[in-house]
Amino acid sequence: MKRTWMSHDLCAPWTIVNIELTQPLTPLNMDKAQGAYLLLRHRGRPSGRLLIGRSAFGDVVPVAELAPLVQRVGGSLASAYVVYDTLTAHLDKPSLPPLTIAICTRNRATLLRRTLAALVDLRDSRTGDATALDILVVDNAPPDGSTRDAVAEFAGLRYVMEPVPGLDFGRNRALRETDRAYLGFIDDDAIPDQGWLEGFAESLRDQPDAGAFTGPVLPLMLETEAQVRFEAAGGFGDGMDWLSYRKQRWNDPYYPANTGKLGTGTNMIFRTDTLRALDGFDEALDTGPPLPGGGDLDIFYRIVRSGAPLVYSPRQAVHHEHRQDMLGLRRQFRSWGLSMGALIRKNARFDPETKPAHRRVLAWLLVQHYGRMLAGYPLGRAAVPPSFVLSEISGLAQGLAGEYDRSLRRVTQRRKEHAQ
Amino acid sequence: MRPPAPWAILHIDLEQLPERLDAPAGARGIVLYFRLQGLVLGLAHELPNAFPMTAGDIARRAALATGDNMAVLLATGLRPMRHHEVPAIREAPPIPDVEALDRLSALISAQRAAKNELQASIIICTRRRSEDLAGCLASLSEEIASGREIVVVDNGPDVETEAVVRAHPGVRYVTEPQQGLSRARNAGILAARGDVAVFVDDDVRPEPGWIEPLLAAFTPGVDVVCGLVLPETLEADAQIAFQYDLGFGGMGHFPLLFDRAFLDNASGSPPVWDIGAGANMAVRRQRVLDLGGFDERVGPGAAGGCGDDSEYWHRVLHAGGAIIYEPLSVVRHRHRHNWSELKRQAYGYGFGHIVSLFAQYGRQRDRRDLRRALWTMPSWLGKRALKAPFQIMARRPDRLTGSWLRGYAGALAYLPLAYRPPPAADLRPEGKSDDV
Repeated sequence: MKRTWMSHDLCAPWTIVNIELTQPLTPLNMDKAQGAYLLLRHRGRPSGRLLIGRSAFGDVVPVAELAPLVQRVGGSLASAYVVYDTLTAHLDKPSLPPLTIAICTRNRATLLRRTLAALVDLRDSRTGDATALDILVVDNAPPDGSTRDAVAEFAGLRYVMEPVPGLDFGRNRALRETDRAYLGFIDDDAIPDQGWLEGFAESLRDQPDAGAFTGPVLPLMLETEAQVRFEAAGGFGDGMDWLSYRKQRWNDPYYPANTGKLGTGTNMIFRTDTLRALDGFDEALDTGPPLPGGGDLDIFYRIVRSGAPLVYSPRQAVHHEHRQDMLGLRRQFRSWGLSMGALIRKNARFDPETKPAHRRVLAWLLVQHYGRMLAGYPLGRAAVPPSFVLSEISGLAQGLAGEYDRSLRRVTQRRKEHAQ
Repeated sequence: MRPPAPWAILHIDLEQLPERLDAPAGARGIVLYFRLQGLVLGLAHELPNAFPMTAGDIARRAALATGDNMAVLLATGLRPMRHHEVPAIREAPPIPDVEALDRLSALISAQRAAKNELQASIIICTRRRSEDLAGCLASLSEEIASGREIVVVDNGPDVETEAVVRAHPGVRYVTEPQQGLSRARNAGILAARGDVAVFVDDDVRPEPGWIEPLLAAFTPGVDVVCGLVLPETLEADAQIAFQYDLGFGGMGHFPLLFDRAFLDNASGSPPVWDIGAGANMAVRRQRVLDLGGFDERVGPGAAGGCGDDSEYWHRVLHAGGAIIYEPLSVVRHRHRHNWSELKRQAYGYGFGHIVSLFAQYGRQRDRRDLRRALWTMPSWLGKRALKAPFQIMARRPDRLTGSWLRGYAGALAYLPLAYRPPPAADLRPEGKSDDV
């Protein structure tokens, strides 16, 4: 298939276009943008994503070029949706269970307002739910009252302050503060897709005993080079899967060590009892530097290993504002490597049955994944500069070298300090 | 890494989706065939941990397995595609509309109702498997009752087989004392009277409604029609290996047309073995006679192994005839239960494949066949042999390569087939035949 972007296309800005597959295609006009990110939808449900750089077809992409690409990328899921709709037409419509949506935030009042506005809109536009959506803001170790003031601007939101810094401390506080059967999280730099809650409700109807529900994290805008490059590198997940994950998976030698596929913390909804049974989130992860990640992957891992299903549905999507600057993005790559390494060591200790899968993932990362990313560079097809890949690898090495244990010690210290 | 046996097979009718699906007791793996008006529209593999499934989850699973195939079938209107056209259509079929599944169901239904004037005879070639044969004839009781001609060719011949046949008045009994499946097939062709001969193996159970789509596919110019062969059970590891590791044709979801273009478009030896499986095959009787019958030097009981059916298909294509693969015709095959039989089958496949390539070359002088026999296949086998020690270390031993290799070595003795002209097939029946 013709490559649809080259490295030199990856400058700001790119335009984001929603294409509804049940409508006839029109030529795509990029105007001044360097490229277009196409989100393909079938009756509103995400079914594929396509990146087209200016260098592929110029600034206007004719339908003759667009159609085969769109069909190839979006056709599979679209066809699946058609079959699914026919087969489920006679079933009870999905309904939303009692649900708390928690936003764990720290010192980002402006961003937070956007998220809260979107959630309040969602809540107020819904009728027919048995219980109205509960929106909870967890203000994590705030330096001032800006978050509290922002929350007060909206009607009917709950606000709590969690003094111990660390995202997982915040999440566990949300767990203590909810009385609903389901608890969801969205980040303060993301907004829900129009079908977010419908997607969740549908997944719940189809898999009533699932412990976790996740979905894609799509870009909200592509205004800076870092944001464009991140999406070109795959963003928060390449494919639009529609899967139910269990303790074991047929013919997947990397499972369950490849938790990256299971979802992202920006978009996760849980059965509250399942979280409680697992003692919530691991507070030694997501602590902010030096280990600013991993809490989401860890909880997904523990949920499937406990025997509860995890459902990933493309319909349950959010739109996220990616890191704006290149330096910040490179640090993020490093932190992903770090959390991966830390989790590999943690799981090797607490869940030795999956050691072979973790070894295979490590081998795959080092040989195929990073190898491919680095090899793209001389060919002009790399999404990110080699320094990013090296950053992630060095993070991985540090993570493997006992970062989880160090974090455990740091967090114990942190708890002691705050107990006083 | 697939789970060990036993596996269960579930056939799910998309128009009668169950409200709930439980894992069959004791199954370590489950194969789900999603059927629409009898057509297998897609399949999925699940571990027992995926069950029990709610209706919505079954729908999701079915949708993921069948969506693409549905789009392709609607794009072609169930018209048989040429083999080389398939990748292009599969790549980007038009996005289906909301009524698509219902429309496909109606299309299949209409296709099933199509009839033509051809008369069919069912031929069962059997050898010393009287119990299997009894089961096979029992599954054909409706055909017998409707007056369809059924000919059993006893290649033993033995008294048990004769007894089984005599228990079904109306079924004709023919003996063929000279061993060889091709020989037996030829005897059946001579004895039968229909326009079309439908072969059913004694270890095959046809599904109801399997015969009409075969017949309907015999449009002018079509000389052979093959159908889908599904496994009857996957209870033993050997059966699973037979299904997934041995590799034979007749498993696709789309109707296919094979003709001269298939021979011309192939870069290597045209993969006639991919066309279908002799276990579910119908042939125009007169054409078989015109072309000299099945090659009696090749196949089980003769040189051995396999290749008896694909060699005939190869000849049909070279003579300008066409072959159709029709997935609406479905039979279930009882795979061998134990490893030694499976290894013998692998040996037979490795062996028979090469022998039939030699026989093909002897008739048609297509250098690609010789190249495959003397270069491509040994290279492939050599690579597998080299990988074998690593497979053992990774605890996934390759249990079949040894048999493949021995089969290849044994087949080399039949190289003269490539250089001697084929004898004119002696199509006079040697054995007794009833006149009913």
